[in-house]
Amino acid sequence: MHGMHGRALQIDLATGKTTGIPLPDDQLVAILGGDGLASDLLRRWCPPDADPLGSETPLVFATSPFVGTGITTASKIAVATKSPQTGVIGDSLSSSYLALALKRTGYDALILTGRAAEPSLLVVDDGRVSLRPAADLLGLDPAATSECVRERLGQRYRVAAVGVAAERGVRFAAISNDGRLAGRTGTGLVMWAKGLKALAVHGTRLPRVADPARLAAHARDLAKRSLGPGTAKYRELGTAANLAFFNRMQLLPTRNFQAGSFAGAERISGETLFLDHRTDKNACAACTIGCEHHYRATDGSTSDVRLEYETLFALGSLCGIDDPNVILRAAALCDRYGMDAISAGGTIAWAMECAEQGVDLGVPARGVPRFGDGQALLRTVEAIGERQGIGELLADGSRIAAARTGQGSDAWAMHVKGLELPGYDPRKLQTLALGLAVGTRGACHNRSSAYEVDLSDRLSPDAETRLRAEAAVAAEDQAALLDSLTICKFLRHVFTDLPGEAAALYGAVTGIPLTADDLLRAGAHITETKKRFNLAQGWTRADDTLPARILDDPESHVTRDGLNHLIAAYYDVRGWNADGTVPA
Amino acid sequence: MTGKELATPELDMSSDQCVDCPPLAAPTVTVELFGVPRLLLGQGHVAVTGETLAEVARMLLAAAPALAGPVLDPATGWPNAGYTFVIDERFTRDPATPVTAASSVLLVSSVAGG
Repeated sequence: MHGMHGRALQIDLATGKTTGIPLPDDQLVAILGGDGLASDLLRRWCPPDADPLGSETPLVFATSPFVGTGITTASKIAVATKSPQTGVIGDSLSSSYLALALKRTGYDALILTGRAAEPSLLVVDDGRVSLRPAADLLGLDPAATSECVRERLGQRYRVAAVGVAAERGVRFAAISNDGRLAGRTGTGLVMWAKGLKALAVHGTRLPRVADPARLAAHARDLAKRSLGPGTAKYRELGTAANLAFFNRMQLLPTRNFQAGSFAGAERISGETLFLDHRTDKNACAACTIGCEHHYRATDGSTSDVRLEYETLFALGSLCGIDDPNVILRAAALCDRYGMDAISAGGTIAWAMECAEQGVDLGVPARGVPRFGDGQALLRTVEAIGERQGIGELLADGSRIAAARTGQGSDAWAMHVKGLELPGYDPRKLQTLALGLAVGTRGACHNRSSAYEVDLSDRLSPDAETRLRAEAAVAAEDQAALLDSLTICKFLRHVFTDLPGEAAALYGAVTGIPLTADDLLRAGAHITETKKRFNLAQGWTRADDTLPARILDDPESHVTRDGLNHLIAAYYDVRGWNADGTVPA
Repeated sequence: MTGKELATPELDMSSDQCVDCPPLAAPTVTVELFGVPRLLLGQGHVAVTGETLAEVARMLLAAAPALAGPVLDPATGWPNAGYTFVIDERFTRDPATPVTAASSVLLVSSVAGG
């Protein structure tokens, strides 16, 4: 097929041996690329019950047919491994130039196995691979690491790196590239466990596309439409625009999900940040939208900081913080240490509630953060990044921290499968509640996307269980489709017929005439691929649930019985067994 | 973008009822603005009259001409494709939706989440 190289490169980091792995057309068509390809390769290469930090666990980087074709927003790389934070699939996407560089190496994916004998820099230059000592890079943040590597090798290289959080063993450490992050589920810790501080990639071999003229016409049209009303929110204000509206709708997680609105919301709203803190905006490689807004603290404590809604809520309302300068500093710290801001904020909020409840966390009381204390938030982010003091406990995430602490503190550990909840209070979002509960990587709004159903007129609050389950499945499969073709979700409202237009683009790139239905079936297959991985790693029905705080709240629209009925309907819609397993 | 002063709507009161305006006895409704509409107008809410969402939209256009074009259709006042109303926590783009003085009316981006 066109648009892909049809092979992956397996690199054994222990021996340095490299092996070309054929990727037949039928395999690539079935899982499309991107997140689907990374998940499929993970499932094939990871042994059952693997230790996420063991040498046997692969770390996969994958591109898609659309990377490097000029299709707007499609320059994304997918990463997949077994998550040290959740014990299930850890799949993540990150935008920008690294994806283009990998696509040019002559391979569609890298499968990293084994463990380097010393901290190393892995260099992939077209088909040539080398492993170089990187002890001198230790202690550097991801941006500085990237800068050093590119100075050493040349600016033509693109770099993925881990920060100090990974070096110290933070379970939600991220992989950073080009100022973006494969942020969730701790992929950075797995990379570090493989002995890698950084990966540098350069290549010159893009695969040919099937119909360049047709592709160019489609791509031009899509780029033009990407500047329309469907992306205005992201272009003008960015995702921070969610905060004030969510607060008004009582959907803004506040003080560790104890409330759905925050008295200090106006001070940290996207509108306020725009007027008082915004400096400029930026776009990922090959993106016409430009959703990345930069902000600066008014007290001079930060330079420009990229801030998304999820970081804003997690380090803001979730921790009771209403000082934008503190939030910007905390966000900058998370980037500098190279760790997921959602899990950092979620775990700190858990500790803050422990302090409120009088739970002993095994450290002096002055070392325990409290809701609303900005300086304590900053100290705790640093403590996590360094894994010192209270950070030694919190660096494992809220699930493990609560299990170690006991004293009933698991009652307010707000996670699903060990992944902290995103910034949508599921008590009033029934379809998303289902999506978060059954999500293969845990509580993830991006993999589910079912909030779109709740935040629209598509279903009434008292819709039938079956209809809601069907809507959650459709949203999840569409998300899998976008993540596997590596089209940004911010483009979704630009399409008038997303699967139909995506099929036309796919045909122009690959020469393979898939239909819209074919693509939707591929989305379902990709979701099932991830579920099969989880089953091999020990998933049980009890893992598909929500925190007790959500289910036992008398004000919640999601009850225990209601959620169980929704989950049963979800399995049925998917054609899975009643216990959530997948038929052979 | 910069905030702008609210413009006073110029209503033709020479007849009992202007073509575009709701009945004089129509309830006053406060429309809360979020995101781009709030930034364009420089304020978070606008009081208008109307008994249906279509009437509210028309009056909003008259009261807040800064929204014409980027947010509201300059001819009808109806929100462009990127925006929607939320009435009493229900998302709707149905112009016939009735509103009362007690209604909660929000004008927001129709692109959820992110």
